[in-house]
Amino acid sequence: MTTPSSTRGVRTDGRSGRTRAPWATVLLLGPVATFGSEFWVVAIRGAVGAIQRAQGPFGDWLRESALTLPVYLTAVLAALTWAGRRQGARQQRVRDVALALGVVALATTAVTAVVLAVNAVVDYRLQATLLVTMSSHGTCTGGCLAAGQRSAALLQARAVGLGTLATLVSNLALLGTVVLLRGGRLPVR
Amino acid sequence: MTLEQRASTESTSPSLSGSAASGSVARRTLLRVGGGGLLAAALTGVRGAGVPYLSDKGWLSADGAFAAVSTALGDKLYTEVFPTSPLILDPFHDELNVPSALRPVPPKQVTSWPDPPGPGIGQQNSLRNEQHQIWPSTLGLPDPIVYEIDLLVRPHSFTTSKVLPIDDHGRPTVSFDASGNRYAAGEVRTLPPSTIYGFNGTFPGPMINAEYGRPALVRFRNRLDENPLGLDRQDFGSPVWQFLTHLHNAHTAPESDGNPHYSIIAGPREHGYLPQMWVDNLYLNHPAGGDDREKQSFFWFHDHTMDFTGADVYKGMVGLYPIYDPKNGTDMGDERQGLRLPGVREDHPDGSFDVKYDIPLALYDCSLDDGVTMHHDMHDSQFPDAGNPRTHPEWWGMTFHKHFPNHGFVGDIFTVNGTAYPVLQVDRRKYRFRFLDCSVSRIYELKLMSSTNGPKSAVSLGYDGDELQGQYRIPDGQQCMQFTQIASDGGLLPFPLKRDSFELWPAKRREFIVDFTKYLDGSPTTKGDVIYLTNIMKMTTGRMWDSSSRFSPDPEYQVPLLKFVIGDDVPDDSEIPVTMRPVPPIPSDWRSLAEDRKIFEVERGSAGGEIEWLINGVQFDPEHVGRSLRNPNGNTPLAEQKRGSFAVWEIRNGGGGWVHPFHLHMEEHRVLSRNGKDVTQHALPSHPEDRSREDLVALDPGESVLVYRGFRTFVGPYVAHCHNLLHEDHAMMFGWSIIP
Repeated sequence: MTTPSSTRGVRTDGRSGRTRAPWATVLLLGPVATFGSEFWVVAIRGAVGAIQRAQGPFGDWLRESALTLPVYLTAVLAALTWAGRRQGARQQRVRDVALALGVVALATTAVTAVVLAVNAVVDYRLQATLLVTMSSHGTCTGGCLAAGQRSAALLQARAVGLGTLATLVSNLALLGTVVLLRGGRLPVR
Repeated sequence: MTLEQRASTESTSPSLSGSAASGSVARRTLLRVGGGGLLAAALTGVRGAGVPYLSDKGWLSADGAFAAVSTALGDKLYTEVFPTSPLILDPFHDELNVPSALRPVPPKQVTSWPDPPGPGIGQQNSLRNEQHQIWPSTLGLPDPIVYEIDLLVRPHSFTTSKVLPIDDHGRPTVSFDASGNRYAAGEVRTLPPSTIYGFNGTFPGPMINAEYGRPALVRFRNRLDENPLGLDRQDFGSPVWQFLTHLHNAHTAPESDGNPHYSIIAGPREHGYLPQMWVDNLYLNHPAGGDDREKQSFFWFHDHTMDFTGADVYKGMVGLYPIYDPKNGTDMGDERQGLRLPGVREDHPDGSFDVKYDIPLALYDCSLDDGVTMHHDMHDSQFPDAGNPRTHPEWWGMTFHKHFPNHGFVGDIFTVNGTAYPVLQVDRRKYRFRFLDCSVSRIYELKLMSSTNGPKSAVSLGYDGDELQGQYRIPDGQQCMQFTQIASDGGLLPFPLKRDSFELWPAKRREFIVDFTKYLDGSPTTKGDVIYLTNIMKMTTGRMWDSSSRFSPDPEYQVPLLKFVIGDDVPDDSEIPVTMRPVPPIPSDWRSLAEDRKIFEVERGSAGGEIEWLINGVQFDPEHVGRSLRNPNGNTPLAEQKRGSFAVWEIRNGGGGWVHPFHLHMEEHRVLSRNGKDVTQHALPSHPEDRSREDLVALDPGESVLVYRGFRTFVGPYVAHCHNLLHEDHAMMFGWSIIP
């Protein structure tokens, strides 16, 4: 459904009637957010991830950033589109820039939270299996094993929270710096 | 973007205040400059502070930067909280415990045992399923002297001094007693004894003075199920009271070596010997290959139970085993013979002997419970009586220990031979000191210092938090003497080394002559003079040092451990030799041998709510020998060696932020290179003992070390592992085998 642009104050492409995408901004902010966010994903994995997935973090960072780039670009696009609609046709003010920046940071952080959660599930499954294997050699069986698995799950949950928080802060800082370097401009259309 | 669109964008992009274009441009420029300034500041900060920090920690690489951040995140995620021990108010008044030699069991008594030791099948342990691989007669050696050591639950006091309970800011705080009574802040208390699992119930355990050519057999009996004094066992130590004794690093057959995987597949087929079991560990006191150059001089024995070595050692399972060389009187504890090293020998009719002026110094750090710190780790369910997670006010003042693998375990009270801050009255002459670090994770750097004003509590000097570790400092301390190093892990050095200070890593042994007759400047000492053995390495976590002489020295960190008070002149027939024991040669073609070396990389991993420690990416698997990483020849060989062979192995520190004292069982090695630099002719100043033989590779951050060693006399499974005992207990170990 297309909402009449006049009612939302959003400029549209005259030929199709659709909102124009701020591609330049998306292509600028997307990679910054991707590489910044994935840094925390890989760092969190180094802290609490399964052994076999926590080797060669630099290579992992490059690879996973490349793989997830489209998802982050989509998130940035969605956030800017929303910000553009909210801003409408009026000239962008400081408040609009801050809002757009915040929304982009939140959107990309939400993607990271999902990535972190998926990672946590994968890591937990590997670690739980490993704990069972280890218990066959060691003294940690029964209640100890269950405690270990519970501890692993809680740790992963805490790691998702910490990673999400760290990502949000770093996204605000990184994206904010980009906006500053652009003279305070954050075109949303 | 079209020109029209660009124009549109420019016109609708932030004017910030809707002001005139010129003003807007000026603001934009200002913002750009601000953004650039932020970036520049960040880069400058990284270059100025980050790069040196990462370099010191071995993290100066792309992967290293991630490791540094992961470590910082781990600190936030792993809950590893240590208590602040009560302040010992009267340090340096308890006498140093100078151990006497354990007396052997009379032969008549041994033959009357229902299960006397012997070479037959089933005679090696109480399960009657093992046999000594080589009985001494096979090597033309006499029957062994027999010792008897029981594992006992007993109390141990680290000090007789009164203490003041303090918090981590150094402020007086509340304390408790075993009945749960609460004492007000500021109330001075007496420490309750801690519960230990000790060899013959003492900490440190007995000292066996051994000699090459005279085998010793020790019957270790597990009586840890008996608790006649009704002591509180607390929540650490092997939960089912097993033990497994390793004589570190004797040339010993697998069944007597305390190899944890051997214990699982043979003998007790458990992680150790259970209560009421016994095992005869046979120590042939025979150098590898029968080569005099392979003779060592100071072993120690300790528990080696899989997953609980650190907890058991911390709980007291430590014993001492100096070994002398009577051949030609070389080093027989008699300063009138051979190398004339300090020592006055007193022989006993039962064949044992003591040596005056030859003193072992076992360094150990501990942490005492403050009653308000939470006890919680992965092993809680193995100690159901403790009811963790919870605090234990009833354990106030007793040893605190948790299996904290992320930080390692360091205590804030330093002890020598089981006593905190002891004093030793010395005669005015030369002494031989045999240093051992039996701490779980702590590394020391030791110096001999004098102080006009004496020790001051760290609290009184305004320190708090981790800076309280060690409790006392000598702010005006000055180096006053040198050490003359005569031996390392592998026995006597080729020649003595003068040392201003030396590092002592976990499980390492260093032997020194200290001449108490004169100071560094040659001036004579006088009766009543005081010298402090001082730790100058700050190490606030079990990972690695914060400061030491080699890295970021902190001149304020001078923690006295032991006070020497100089007494009367006495006869001294000892000398400082010019040369001692030559080292076995390294083959000239070692570089070509190194092409097919076995490579083992130690690194950090994570599993199930705890940090785990890995070798070549895997955890310790007791059922399989380890496998090398791909070597320059393209091979990935198993960690197996033919009996009688020699080989080059490489040990790599694959992760930054930690150092690892990496221990290879059964024979000593020579270091060939560090980070590719040949040290066979000239050792690096950072590791002067590389000219000697060692059984622990001191791996600095990010370091790679090539070693050369033999695999002689015995066949069977052995282990190699990190001797940061929390790393070992968290799987940083691999099995290797000698095959026929």
